[in-house]
Amino acid sequence: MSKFKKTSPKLNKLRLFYADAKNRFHKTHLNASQWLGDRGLDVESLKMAGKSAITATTLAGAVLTSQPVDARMAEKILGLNNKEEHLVAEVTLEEHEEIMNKMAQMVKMPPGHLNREDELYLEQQISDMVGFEVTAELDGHRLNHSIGIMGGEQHLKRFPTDSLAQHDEYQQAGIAPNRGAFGWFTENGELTQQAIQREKYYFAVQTLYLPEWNQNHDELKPWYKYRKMIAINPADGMAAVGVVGDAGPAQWAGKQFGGSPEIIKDAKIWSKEARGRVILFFVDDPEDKVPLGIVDLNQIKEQLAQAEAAS
Amino acid sequence: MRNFYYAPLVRWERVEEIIMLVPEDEREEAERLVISSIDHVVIETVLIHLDKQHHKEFMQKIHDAYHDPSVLDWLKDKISDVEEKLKNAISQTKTSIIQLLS
Repeated sequence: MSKFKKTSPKLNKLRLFYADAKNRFHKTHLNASQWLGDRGLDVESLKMAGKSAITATTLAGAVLTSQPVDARMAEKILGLNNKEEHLVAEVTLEEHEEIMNKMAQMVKMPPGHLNREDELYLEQQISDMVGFEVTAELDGHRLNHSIGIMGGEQHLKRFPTDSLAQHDEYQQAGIAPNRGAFGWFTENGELTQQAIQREKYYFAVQTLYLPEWNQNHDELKPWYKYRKMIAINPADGMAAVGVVGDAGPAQWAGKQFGGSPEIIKDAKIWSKEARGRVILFFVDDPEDKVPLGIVDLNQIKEQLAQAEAAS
Repeated sequence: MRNFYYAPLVRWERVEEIIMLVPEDEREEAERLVISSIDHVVIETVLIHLDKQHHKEFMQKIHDAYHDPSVLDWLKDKISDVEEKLKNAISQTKTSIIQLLS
């Protein structure tokens, strides 16, 4: 007996009815269809677009009342290569505060890139702070923005039959009707821990607007797929390490990056102070040692203060 | 899920009746298909009756606030008897689906 259940004739008829309604709309209202197409939308996702704006507000509100985030990630990262000792040597408490203040100013600049001098300074300082290499450009690849606004995205389907109920957190964010631009998260059909983590901490980046995207799509897509990145919210002293899991947002949305519900809420990206303003850099992690998750930069600050007090 | 701008014009109990016509384990998809069909019909009906110069504004409005009843208020100013027109279109759609499934 087949393990696949046969669809009932009634549901098949409904599917055809819906397909007809959809086709008729696109054929008879070309301008509206074009309007949607230009924005990468259809009527179904149009409904969700409005909903995601509500979601961003909801999540922003939730941030203000949320419990402190799990600090284990910061500990893990601080523990990389005995980094605590390295931290004390490389960054003082005063420097940490100075960097955070500078970043808070930098993210208020128009979306784009810093000048190369400031960028190099920031790459070095953030790398020293978090304990792993971060960079605006990696292997000759650079996004169109490293500073910009990060919008709230919905959950992504990790496999074809995935549903919102199977995602353990922030179900109020909803789930996108289609899979992400880089495909299913499962590996050989299996929902591994890594696949779960990748969907939890994913970024949407505007690969589709890269000047070389159309010519080098075949090379670029696999490079960007699950590429590790870090988003820094200097206003709240929070950061998130995640992977590139989707393409977007559309240019007209006025945002340059998207973040999964976990990233948006736990890294307080839409707090009253941050309002989506982040720095987004690549993580240079060829050996895949840096874990995905939230980094509490305030905790790093506290540890530096303790280390200074003890010395 | 059903706080769409046109929601007050729908007799939702009729939608429930349609959904109950399919097997239980397919009702989630059936609900999505029925509502999506109505979504398309409503937009079509609006675009047929709305002056062309307001089409983009309408699309932008439903993009920004598909769930906001103020979209319907805006339409009332632009299309005469819009509620009646939309009710008829929605009702015809539901009747067509019921006939199809019966």
